[in-house]
Amino acid sequence: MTIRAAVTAVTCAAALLVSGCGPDQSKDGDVNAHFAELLRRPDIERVQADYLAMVERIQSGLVREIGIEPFPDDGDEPVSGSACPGEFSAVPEAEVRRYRFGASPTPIDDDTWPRALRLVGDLAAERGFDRQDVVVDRPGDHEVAFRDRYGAELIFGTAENTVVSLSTGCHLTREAHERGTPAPEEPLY
Amino acid sequence: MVAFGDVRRWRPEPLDEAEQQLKSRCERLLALADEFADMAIPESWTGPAADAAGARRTRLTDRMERLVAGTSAARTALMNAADAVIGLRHAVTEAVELASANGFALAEDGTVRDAAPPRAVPAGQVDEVQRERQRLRAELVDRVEQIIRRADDIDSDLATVLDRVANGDVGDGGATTLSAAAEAGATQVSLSITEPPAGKGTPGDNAGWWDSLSKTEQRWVIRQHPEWIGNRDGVPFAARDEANRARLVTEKARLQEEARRLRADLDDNVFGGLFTNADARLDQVEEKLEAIRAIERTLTRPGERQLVLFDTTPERAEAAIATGNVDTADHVAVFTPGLTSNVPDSMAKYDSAMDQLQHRATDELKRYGDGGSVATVTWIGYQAPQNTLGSYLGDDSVLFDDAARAGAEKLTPFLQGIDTARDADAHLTALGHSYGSTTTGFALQQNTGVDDAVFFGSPGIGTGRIEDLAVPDGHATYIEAKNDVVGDLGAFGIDPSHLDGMRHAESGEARHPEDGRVLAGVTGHSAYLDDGSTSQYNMSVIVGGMPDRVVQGENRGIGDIGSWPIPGTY
Repeated sequence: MTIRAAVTAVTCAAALLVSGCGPDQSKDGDVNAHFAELLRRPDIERVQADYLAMVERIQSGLVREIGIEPFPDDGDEPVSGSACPGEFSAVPEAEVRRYRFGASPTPIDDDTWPRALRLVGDLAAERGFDRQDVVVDRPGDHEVAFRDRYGAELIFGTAENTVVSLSTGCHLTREAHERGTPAPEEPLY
Repeated sequence: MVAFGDVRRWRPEPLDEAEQQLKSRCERLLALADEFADMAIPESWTGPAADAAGARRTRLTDRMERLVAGTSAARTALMNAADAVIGLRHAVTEAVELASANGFALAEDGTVRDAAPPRAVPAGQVDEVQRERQRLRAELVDRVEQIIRRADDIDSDLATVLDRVANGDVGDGGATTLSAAAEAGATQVSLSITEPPAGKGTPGDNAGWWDSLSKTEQRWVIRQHPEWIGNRDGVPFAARDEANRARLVTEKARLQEEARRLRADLDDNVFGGLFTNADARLDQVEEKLEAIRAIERTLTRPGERQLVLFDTTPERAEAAIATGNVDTADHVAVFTPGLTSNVPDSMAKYDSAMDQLQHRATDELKRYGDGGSVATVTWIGYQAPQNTLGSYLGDDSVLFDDAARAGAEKLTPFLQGIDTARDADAHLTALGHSYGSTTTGFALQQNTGVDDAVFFGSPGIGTGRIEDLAVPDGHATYIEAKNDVVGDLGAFGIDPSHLDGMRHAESGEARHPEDGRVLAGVTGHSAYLDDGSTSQYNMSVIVGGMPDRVVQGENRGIGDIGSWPIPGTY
């Protein structure tokens, strides 16, 4: 073994010990504890219905009150989902979902932006998105992120276009939520 | 052998016309069925004359039935040939359009000529343009080869059937009526479907072959031979996905059966697997079944997923899953993970990270870019080193670059197959983390069509010279986080932090120089893809083709001083 190879071996082993090079840190985590925590949250179908209703009100409110053009259906698959990142990744029946909405081709001008932001903020707050972080705020370019207690993120921004985008926090599937306990692992064969 | 110039002139219409003529004659023959029935010998007529008349009628009927069967066979063959020629014309059109759109010409004998190379290429893009033309030329040569191969096949198959008909070798299958004879004739002939190119084929070979098949033939291949195309680079990804999903079911059943048999063998043997190695084999089979479970779970998540690679033949199963549509997305990114990555343990996490990256890139494109679509691929298509003693000492050891080189041999055609399979090139980005960046680095030393490369937390990209990477100048980016010791190893080529010509993107907490957004910093080796991080943001804008939005910066630490390459040693 060369010195370089030895150094590589030691470094990789150290990196794995310190931070985990791979993705399986939580493989053996306490699935039951995480499941129980997620059980206290609404299931993914319920939050999806709530969030989508909120986005629809936001979009129609912006069109009606601010006067921008409607948000078109851009033809893409509107929703995607995946396993939860981080601590909940050990729960296979947990999911985050991300939504794509068409962008309104009308930018919101700087003078109108505060009114539009108030409108969106009020509608978002009604659904629990009570944390508001300014991401970008400069002439002709604004973006604000609203978050709820489950880690969902609603983005509202305007630059070339006006966009609304959404991702959920981590939630159990409806089936898992109704069952109330982790599904028994099916035998491999 | 058929000449390419002739094939260009092939049309399905004459075959259709011939088929219609045969159809009308066949119908006339079938209409005689009643007359034949009327020719039956009356029961009251007996004796030698009646016997002779009956025998004569039987001979005549048999001849008619064979004639109808032969006509029907010829009709079927002509219909199949017309359908095949439609597919072939599609392949010809694809090749001709690809050639003319890029200044190439296809001669009558099939040779590819660089007829109109671009002029006034900016000095900084000469290499890139040259690479692109080499790639296109090779693809055109392969496509023409496959067109001629398919044309020969159609020609030979049709000639064989027509010869059989002419020689009276098409039987009536014992039919007793003319319509039954027609059915028997139709079922006796079928034009073969040209098998895929031998071995793995080049992406150009595979694309040329696939395009030369008619839609009906393509459907037949997906249903009957999914193993032909599931991992065949150059075939469209929607077809590969469909084939691989079918293979997932059959492979699962096969592996379950094998696992049960191995378990039974072990249970029946007092020595267990001591002398048979059945226990080691069972471990491997179980790992593959775990991989299938992880794939199934990922594919059932909401949204568009494509299973674009699925292989259970290596020691550990290999797979690649796309979020989005690789055939049509404007921007495609392929992510190769490194040490410890494997399908059972890694697919869910990396698929989640790629789904999130796609979401971020799409958002940025909507606000600042062209609103284009994005697809991301988690590519676990090689035997990545594992954190086990066996792996450290084995062929896939992280200590050496053999596994990366072997992985690059698979990653290279996969990347090449993306543009080759599509109607229009994608903006293609290769992402490589840790040992996966070494694999990516080796792959990008080939002509892959990759437009942007992002290496992060890299122990080296397999070279000490940026010129070795076949990506456009200024489009190779390195990201290294604070306290990432792997990034300072410089084990495979020099530490990329010191590569001249490499662009460096920030990973620490940063305020965007243009729009002022604050991005979260990451440290260590494994957080580069964290949502909301500077490193993830930088990857998202590169994937979305917005390099101007990258937050540039380096996080050089003491490790980078130690990894400074000594001139003349690399």
